[in-house]
Amino acid sequence: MNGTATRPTTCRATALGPVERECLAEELDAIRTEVTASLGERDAKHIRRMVDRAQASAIAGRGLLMFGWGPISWILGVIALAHAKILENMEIGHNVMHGQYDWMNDDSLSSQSYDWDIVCAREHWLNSHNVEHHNHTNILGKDHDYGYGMLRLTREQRWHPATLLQPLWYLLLAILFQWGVAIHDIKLGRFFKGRMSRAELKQRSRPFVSKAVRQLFKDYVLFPALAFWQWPRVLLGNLCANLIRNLWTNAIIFCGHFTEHAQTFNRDATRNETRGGWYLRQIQGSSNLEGGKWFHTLSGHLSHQIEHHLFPDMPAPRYPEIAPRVREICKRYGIHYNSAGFWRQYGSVLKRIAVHAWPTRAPRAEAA
Amino acid sequence: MLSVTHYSEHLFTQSTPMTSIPNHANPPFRHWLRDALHPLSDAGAWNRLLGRVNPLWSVTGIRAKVVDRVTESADTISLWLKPSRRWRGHAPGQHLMLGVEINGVLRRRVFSVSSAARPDRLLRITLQRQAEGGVTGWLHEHAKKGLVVEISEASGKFLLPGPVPDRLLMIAGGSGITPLLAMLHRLADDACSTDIVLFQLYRHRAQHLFAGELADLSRRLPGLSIHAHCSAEHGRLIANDLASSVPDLGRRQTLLCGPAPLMEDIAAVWAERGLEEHLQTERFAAPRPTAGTGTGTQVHALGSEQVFTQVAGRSLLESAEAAGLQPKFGCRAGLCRTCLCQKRSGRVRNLLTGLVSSQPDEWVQLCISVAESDLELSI
Repeated sequence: MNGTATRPTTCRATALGPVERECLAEELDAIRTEVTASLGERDAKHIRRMVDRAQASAIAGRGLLMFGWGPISWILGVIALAHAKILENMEIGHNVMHGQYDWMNDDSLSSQSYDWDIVCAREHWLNSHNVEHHNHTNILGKDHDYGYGMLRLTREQRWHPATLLQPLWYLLLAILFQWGVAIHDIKLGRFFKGRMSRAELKQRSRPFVSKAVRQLFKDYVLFPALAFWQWPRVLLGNLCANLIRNLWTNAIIFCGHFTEHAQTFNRDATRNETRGGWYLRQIQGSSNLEGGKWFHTLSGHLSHQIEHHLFPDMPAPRYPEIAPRVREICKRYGIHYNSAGFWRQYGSVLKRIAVHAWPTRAPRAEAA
Repeated sequence: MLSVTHYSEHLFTQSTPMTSIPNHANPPFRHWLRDALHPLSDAGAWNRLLGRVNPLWSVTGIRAKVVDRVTESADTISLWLKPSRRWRGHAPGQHLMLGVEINGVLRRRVFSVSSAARPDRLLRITLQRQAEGGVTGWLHEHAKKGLVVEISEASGKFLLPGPVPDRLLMIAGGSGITPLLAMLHRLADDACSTDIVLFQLYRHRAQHLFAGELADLSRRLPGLSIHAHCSAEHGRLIANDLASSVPDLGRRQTLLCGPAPLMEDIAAVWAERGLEEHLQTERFAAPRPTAGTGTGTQVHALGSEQVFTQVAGRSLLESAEAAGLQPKFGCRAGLCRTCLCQKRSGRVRNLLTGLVSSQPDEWVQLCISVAESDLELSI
């Protein structure tokens, strides 16, 4: 991954000069200021409604799995529990931990204390996601979310014979997605390359181990045990609910940055980036999904990845509201606004994974 | 003046979200269990559920219901509150933090309790409408019977002296009468015969608070003599004159509560006469920063008890670092919120949004904010 820093960039030459980038930043900042000033009860009601919905769904799901009888109640239980986990992870956890609701001054919805219901420890997430990924979006070598250190998604990344198996690696990552996200910030790669001592590894793993034990205990010991003789049903149900959540979150997140037209950047080209340049990269490196209200909610509004990357701490339900304005601005500046339906975008992600499994050649060094 | 935050240090021991960050080096069992039982262990969820049954019920906080509202003057009202059973009561002179949700934002403010402990457990707070609006303005408009608010346990060290002394002097400026009123009720309930001189200072006749109630109290307290002084009619009472009008000043314990200038004047005169030991005070506002130093805006970092200066053209984070402090930080671009901290007082401008935060207890991102006045930050 590291060698890519010196390779030519895939970032297509953008016609925007420094002055235009400055104007772009001003226009986008104006949207942010306007929305920030209008935050209020409506947003507070929304997030509380989501918390209530997730909790009601979790209680219904666990109840059906523990006390239900027959396959139909089992299936309904799995669906309800998976729905609860998806909602909690995406619309509540991810967004609250971005600080989208910090202004409410409510300790239970504060980025300083919220810990989500997933094996990824909050301190790991805050670093790998909020600090690294959102700042260095799609910069090879700096954004560790790019391919999650195991996938080759662009020609600039080094090819290795094992890369041929990457569709298989991807399938495993999708199935075990929460575990992939959880160990992400330990940065095992550095350890294997000998750039991290065993003691540091141990230190870095501590939050992960603690969180993972608690999560495993909850889904695979405590709740099955509470169901007495029904324990196999609960255990299997929890496993399936986690699997559904993993597949769904993985699909949504991969659609955010690895679709056909989502661009990749290199370190040198982004070294002295202005605020306008940063905004531009966020738009070019992200892609949106189109769908109905339920679809947006279940994606944690990451279906509006572009708006989310422009304003990561804006309450997510505001993204669909500002999306037409962002799209209009993009049109005026001649920036490609990457938006399409789920299957089309996800299809292009899968295609990219398959294509770059082969030793695709880096383009000649035209930029250099 | 009443409702401005009390900046007594014990208030800062109120739990802030920072303290609830789990310590993973040695996770406490309680935290472990809470996580394992989620969402059954979610206090917020139970609170909302219980709140639907009875708005006063909560497993974590203390809630109180407004049972009566009394207009005291044109800009002052009293609210009688019925607290939930979790509330442990108060000593006269103490204050509590009251929280209301205003347009989705939980805002808190400190108020003195203006009543003594009662058998029916009701408590009274008295609030003057502040020019800035905020909590007091909202309560003036929206507080009515049935409103449920959040309150804290009572705290504060402005209390009646241990065994009640034979002679007391009370000085109340404006709505500073409230904690003293609670004390007088307590003394009357105990049928205390202490000799009390009360100076009640106020600006306009319309701002003369609790005249009837004090008249009742003086009937129940034979030792109470009240000197009401209206500065619009009689001119401003000079601290020295006040001291001179009490012949046995040296033998009286003085309890003082009022606006900052009055308190400073009195404190200076008492110090001159060597009576600091006899003076007990309750502040309603932050001590004024020593003005005119000309070195720029001072920021008080409460966690480390250090003061640093806002450097022109730099963010608060950079200014703190220039002064040798080491606040946590992440992206330094206003994205990740690693450097988020709570502002206790002062004005801060967010450079990204241009918005100004002037209310107490708002959250501030250090890397994209600059101080616009002297600040207190919990870093």
